[in-house]
Amino acid sequence: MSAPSHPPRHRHPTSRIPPRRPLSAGHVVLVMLVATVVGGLLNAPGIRKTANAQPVGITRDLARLVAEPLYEVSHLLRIDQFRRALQAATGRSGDDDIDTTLPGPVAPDPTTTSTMAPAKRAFSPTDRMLVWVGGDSLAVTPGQSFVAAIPGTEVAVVVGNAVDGRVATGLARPELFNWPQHMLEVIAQDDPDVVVLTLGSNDDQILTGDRGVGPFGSGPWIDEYRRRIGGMMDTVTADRGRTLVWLGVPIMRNEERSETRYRVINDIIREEATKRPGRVFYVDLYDRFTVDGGYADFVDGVQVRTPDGIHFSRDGGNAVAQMVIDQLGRMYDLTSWRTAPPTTIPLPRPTTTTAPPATGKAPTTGRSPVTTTPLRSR
Amino acid sequence: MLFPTVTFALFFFVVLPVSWYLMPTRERWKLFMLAASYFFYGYWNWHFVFLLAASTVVNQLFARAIHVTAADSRRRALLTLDVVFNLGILAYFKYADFFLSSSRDVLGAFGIDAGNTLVNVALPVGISFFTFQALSYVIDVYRRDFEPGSLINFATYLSFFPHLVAGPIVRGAEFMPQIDEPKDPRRIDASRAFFLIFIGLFKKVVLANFLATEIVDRVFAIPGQRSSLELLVGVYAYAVQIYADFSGYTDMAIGLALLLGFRFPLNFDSPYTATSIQDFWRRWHMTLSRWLRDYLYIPLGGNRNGNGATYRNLMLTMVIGGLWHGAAWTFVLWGAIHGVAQSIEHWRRSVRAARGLPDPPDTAARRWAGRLVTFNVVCLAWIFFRAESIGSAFDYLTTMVDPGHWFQASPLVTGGVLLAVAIGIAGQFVPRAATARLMARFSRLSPVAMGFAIGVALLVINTLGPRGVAPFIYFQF
Repeated sequence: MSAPSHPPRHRHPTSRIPPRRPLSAGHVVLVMLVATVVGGLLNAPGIRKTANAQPVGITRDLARLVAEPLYEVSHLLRIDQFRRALQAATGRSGDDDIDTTLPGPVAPDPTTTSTMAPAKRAFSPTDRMLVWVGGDSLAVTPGQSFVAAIPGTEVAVVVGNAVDGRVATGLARPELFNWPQHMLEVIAQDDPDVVVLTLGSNDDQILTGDRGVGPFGSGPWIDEYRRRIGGMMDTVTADRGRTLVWLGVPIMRNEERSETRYRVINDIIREEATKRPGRVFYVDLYDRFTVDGGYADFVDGVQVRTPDGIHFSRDGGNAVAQMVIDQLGRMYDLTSWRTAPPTTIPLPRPTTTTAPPATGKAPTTGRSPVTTTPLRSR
Repeated sequence: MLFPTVTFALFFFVVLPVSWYLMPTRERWKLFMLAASYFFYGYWNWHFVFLLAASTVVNQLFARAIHVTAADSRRRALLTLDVVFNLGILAYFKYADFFLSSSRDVLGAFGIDAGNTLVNVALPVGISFFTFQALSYVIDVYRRDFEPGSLINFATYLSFFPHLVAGPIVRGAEFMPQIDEPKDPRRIDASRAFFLIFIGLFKKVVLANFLATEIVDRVFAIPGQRSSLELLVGVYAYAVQIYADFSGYTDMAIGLALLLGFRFPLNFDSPYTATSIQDFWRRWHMTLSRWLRDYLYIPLGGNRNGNGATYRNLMLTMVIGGLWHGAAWTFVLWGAIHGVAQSIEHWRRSVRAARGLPDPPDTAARRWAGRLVTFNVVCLAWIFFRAESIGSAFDYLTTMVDPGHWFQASPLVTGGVLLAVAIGIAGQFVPRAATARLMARFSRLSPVAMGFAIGVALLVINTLGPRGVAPFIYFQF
C-alpha cells in the first residue's frame, strides 16, 4: 500500500502565478445566470429535444414550456446556428431534429402475392446471411450473445458485429427515438437479409407523436399501437424478401404489470406478425422464461435474469440467442452446404397474408407462427 | 440526480443562494443543507433515505458511546459492533447475492443442490462511500484522533450532496470543522470552482461518454469478434474512460463544494503519469487509497513485520479494495493484480536494500520506462475490472494476442477515438502551474464575461457529447 503522498519532485515555480480573485456569492449567482442564458440560447435545439424526451407527465410539460420558447428565440435570433455549425463540423448534423411521423401498415401488392409457400433460401459460407440485431435495452445482452454465437453457424454475419441497442426506446415515443426512420437508414446503408428486433417493453404508456393517443390499453391506443407495429413490420420487410424476427417482451418480476400490460403488447405484436407470414416471425419470450406460470430468476437451475427483474443475464441472453438461431434454422436452409455444393434459391417476393410462413407450417389464429417449448423448470 | 443534468442545475440554482443566505444562522443552514442533501439522495429512490438516516443515527450513537467510555475493552467491543453494523449493511445490500451464487457454484461442484435463492435487493446508490465515511468517523473517535460532533453536524457531513454518492471519501476531521467555521460570502474561490466543474463536465460528457459508446462498450461486449488492434486500443480507451468518468465526477464535486464554501481533498493527481504501481495508488482515487492504508493496511501491520507479512497485507488490502468496487470475482482479480504488482515492487526494493545497493539514478529515461510499464500493468488490470466475467476477460486477452486477429479490419479504431485517448492521457502531463495561471486569468474576468465564457463552453460540451448522460461508473460502487 502506498505511503503518505510526497510532494512532486519536479515542481514548477508557482511564485509568479498571480492569485485568483475571489467572487462574492451574488456574483457567483450572476455568473450562473449569464451562463444559463447564454448556454441555453446556444444549446436551445438540444434542450428542446431533451425536453421532449422526458417521461410523459408534468416534468415533460414543464420542460417543454421552457424549452419551446427558448428554441423560438434562439432560432429567431439565429443563435442556434452556432450549434448547427459545430454539429456540421463534427459530422453530427441532424442530431437535434425531431421526426415523429410513424408509417402505418402497407397493403400487400396484389401483383406480388402468392399462395404458395416460398422455398427456404439456402445460405452458405460463400453466400452469407447478413443479420441486423437491435432494439431496446432488452436487446443488448441477448444480442451480444447472438453476435458471439453466430460465427458458429458459419453462414451468417451480424452488421458491424454489434448490437444496435437504444435504451428506453420503443414505438410509443418517436420524439425520443424514431425506430421506423432509423430502420430505413439501416436498410439503405446495410441492406440486411434478416432483422432481429426487440421492442415493446417501453411502450406501456401514452403514445406521443403524430396520432398520439392515450391512455394505455384504451381502444384508440390499441388501434394506433397496432398501426405502428404493422407499419414497423412493413417498413422492415418491404423489399428484397427481407425477414423480421420480432422478440416479444419477456415476463418480468412485476407480474401484475407483465400480465396487464406486456401481455397486451405481445398479443398485438403476435397478431400483426401472424398477418405477415413468411415475412415476420414472432418469438415468444414471455412463456419461455416462466416457471410454474410465473416469473423466475432461475430456469433449469441457471440464472437467466439480472437482479433488476427485467433484463437477461448472460446465460439468459445465451438462451435467447439460441432461440433466434433455431428460428433462423427454421426459416432458412443453413446446413445443406455442408453436404452439397451451395445453391442459392431466388429470393421469395413479399407474400400475401394467406401464404404460410417460410417454415411451411400453417399459422394458427392468435398464435405465433413460431411454436416454442417452454424451458423446463426445476 | 446526476450532476450534468438540467434537473441538477435547477436544484443547485436554488440551493446555492439559499445556502449562502442561511449561512450566518448556522443551525438553520445545517437543517437546510440536510434537507437538500436528503432530497438529492431521495430523488433516485426515496426509500433509501431511511437507510442513510439510520446509518447516521446508529453510527453517531456508537461514536458518542465510544467517546464517553473509558474502559478500553468496552470501547473495543463498541467499535467491533459498529464495524459489524456497517459491514452488515454492505454485506446485505451489496454482497449477499454474490455470496449466495458463489456458494451455490461451489456446492454445485460437489453435487450439492443449494437452491436458487437470491436476495435481489436493489443496491442503494453510493452505499460504499457513505458507509466508509461513517466507519472512518467512528474509528477516528475510537482512536481519540477526533471528538464526535453533534448529530446534526454528523448528519450534514455524511449526507452533504456533493460527495454523497461517489466521493471523494471525505473524513469527518476534514469536513466537520468546516461546518462551524466562519465563511465569507464575499470571498468564494469561484474561478477554480467553475474551472473544475467545466473540466469535469468535459471529461465526463465528452471524453468518457464518447469512448464508451464508440469503442469500449463494443469491444468488451464481444471481445472474440474484434481485432487485436481494436482490443488494444479498447483497453487504453477504457483506461481513459474510467479516469475521465470518475475524476470528472470528483472534479465537479470539488467545484460544487467550493461554491458552497467547502474544501474537499484532492482525489486524482494525474494517475497515468505514475512511475510505479505504488505511485499509481498515490494518485488514483487518493481518498480511498488513504482510507485503505489507514484503516486496513496499517492496522494489519503494514510493512512492519517482515517481507512475508508485508506481501500478505498488500494482497489483503488490494483484494478487499477490489471487492469494495463490486461484488464479483473480476474485482477480486483486479485487486489481486495490483497486490501482486506492489508486492513485486516491494520485493525489488527489499532485495536492493539487502544488498546495500543505492537507489537507481532518477533519470528521464527511467521515469518514462516506469510510466510505460506501470500504465500497461494498470491497463491489464482494467480488463478484469471492466469484463463481465473472468472468462470474458481471458477471452479478451487471448483474442488480443491471437495471430488470427492481428490483421483483421479495425473499424472501431477511428481518428476520433485515438484523439480522445491521446487527449485523456496527454492532459495528465499538463503542468499544474499552467492550469493555475489559466484559472488566475479566468478569475480576472468580470462576472458577465465569466458567465458568457461558461455558456460558450456549455455549447461545446453539449454539442460534442453523446445524446443522453450515462450514469457515472462509480455510482454502482
